[in-house]
Amino acid sequence: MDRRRLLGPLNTVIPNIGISSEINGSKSTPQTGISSSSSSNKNDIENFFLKTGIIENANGSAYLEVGNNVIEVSVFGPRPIRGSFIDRASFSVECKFLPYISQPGDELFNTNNQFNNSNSNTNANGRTGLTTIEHKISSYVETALLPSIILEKYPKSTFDVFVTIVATETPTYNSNEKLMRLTNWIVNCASVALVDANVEVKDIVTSGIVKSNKSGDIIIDPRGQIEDEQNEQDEQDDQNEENVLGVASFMNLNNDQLVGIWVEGGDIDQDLVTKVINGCNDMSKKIRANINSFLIDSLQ
Amino acid sequence: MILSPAERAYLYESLVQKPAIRPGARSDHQFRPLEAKTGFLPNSNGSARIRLNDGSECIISVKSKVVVTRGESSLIEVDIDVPGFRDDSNFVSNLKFSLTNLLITKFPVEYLRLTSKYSFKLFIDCIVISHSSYPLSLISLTSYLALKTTRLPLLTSEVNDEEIEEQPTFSDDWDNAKYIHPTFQPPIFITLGVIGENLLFDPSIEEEQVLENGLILSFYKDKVITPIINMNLATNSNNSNFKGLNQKLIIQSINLCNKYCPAIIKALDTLIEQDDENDDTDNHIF
Repeated sequence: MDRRRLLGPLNTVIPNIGISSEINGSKSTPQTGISSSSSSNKNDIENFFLKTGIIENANGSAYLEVGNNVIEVSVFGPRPIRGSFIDRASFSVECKFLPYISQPGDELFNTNNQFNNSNSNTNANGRTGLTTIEHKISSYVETALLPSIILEKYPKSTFDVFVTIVATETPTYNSNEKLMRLTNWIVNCASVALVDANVEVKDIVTSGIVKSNKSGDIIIDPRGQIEDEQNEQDEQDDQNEENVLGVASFMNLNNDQLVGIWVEGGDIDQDLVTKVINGCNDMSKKIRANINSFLIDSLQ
Repeated sequence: MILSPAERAYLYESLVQKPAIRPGARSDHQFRPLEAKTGFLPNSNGSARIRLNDGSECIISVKSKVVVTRGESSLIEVDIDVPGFRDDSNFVSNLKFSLTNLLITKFPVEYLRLTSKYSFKLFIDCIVISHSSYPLSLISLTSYLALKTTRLPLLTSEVNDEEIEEQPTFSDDWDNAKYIHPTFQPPIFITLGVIGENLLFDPSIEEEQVLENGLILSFYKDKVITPIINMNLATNSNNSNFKGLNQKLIIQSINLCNKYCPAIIKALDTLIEQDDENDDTDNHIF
């Protein structure tokens, strides 16, 4: 597609490098039904299904299913802007839940909607805007992706990323965990969509989520209440107090640069934060390896 | 764009020095001087105002209402109003999310319990009259003062009303009203700018233009707590220096906050004490 004035030579050869030996990741193997989450190793990452280029009129798009989360991201850009000259592209992310989906933390944060139907996204003026939670996710994703895009290459243009959440987890998760898990996968999905849109990036941003348990150990990719079966009694009271949840996004080929961090939950100290960051980094690398082989596969 | 390319380059170069050379000769852990006043809104349970020397100003009012505890999803509700921004804009929504999230998760709600059935619900209304730099720490420091000086009417009826159908009654003497808790110190947010290897407390608007990243940490009971997040502090995303963080800086920022933030809390507490002493003579804000 001729979206830029300077085009590379038409007969370029793409070097066949970086094919990982473990190419049989979870990529592009459509799963039937929902993957079983009762895996024996608790540090395994949940299988996910990824597909790109599903939306024709967007410059790039990606679709991701993990657990019961279904996320779809479309990238529009570079699009020309009107008005005064800017030397770098501007970048925006907008994240929306489909109207029938209950948003995690809805009752706490989306208090502006109290006069309306609680799940409708209309405010008092009847306009459709984003809810507080949608804004929060949008701004995390924007912060995480912003350093990766080479905006200098696109003067006078804009990139708009639209995230649609088609389905979310069942209510067994506490709302914070649900929100952060969702955010984590949105970042991964959006980075693939950016690649699909042929946007020049410094590196593909991937992210990971971890949760600490009471003894201070880190559980990578927590999935609801799997890890504390033994004390279901006090789980309700303790879950918000004790466990630390962290999402962190990285540019793995760029010195593991941390581009986004969001830590919530109980007490923290330096050691725990280091563990959280390292845990997220491990998970992001695994996801990155999967995405790499997916992208290489899709070229062939 | 408030700085020319040359100004940006100059400021960037000064700030990446070790130690950083900040405009206004601040050291890297020094806040901008502020002026505060508490308890000036007669119709509120607590109120506070903070003004900074760059003209930023924030007023917060805390009001309370007796509610049936069971019927409420949370006992704290925050509303933020920033002139020039729509209430459903990303900017205002994020401020609101951050403050609500901090207070809901960290505020000890047992202080608001009245009886076994009833509680106080606090409504925290913030108006940012003007701001130049990212206003979250300004709002949060003001909310500290407002919550700390919030006085709730004294309960005169029975605390245990499990058996009896009784609504709580209060002493009608306002002098009997008591603070939320004598030793209560509300949680606050600290904004830190990341540039090179340096971490700058409370970056000003000019500094925000050249920062490489921004960190927001929360501080409560003499230590750094969650949430910890990073974000682009400059409101326009055309921040050409913006890039990823070195992981070590997160740990460093926690250490720095643990070291310097108790002084901020202490300064705010002193401020309230001084304000109390002046209260009889001067009870207006202008």
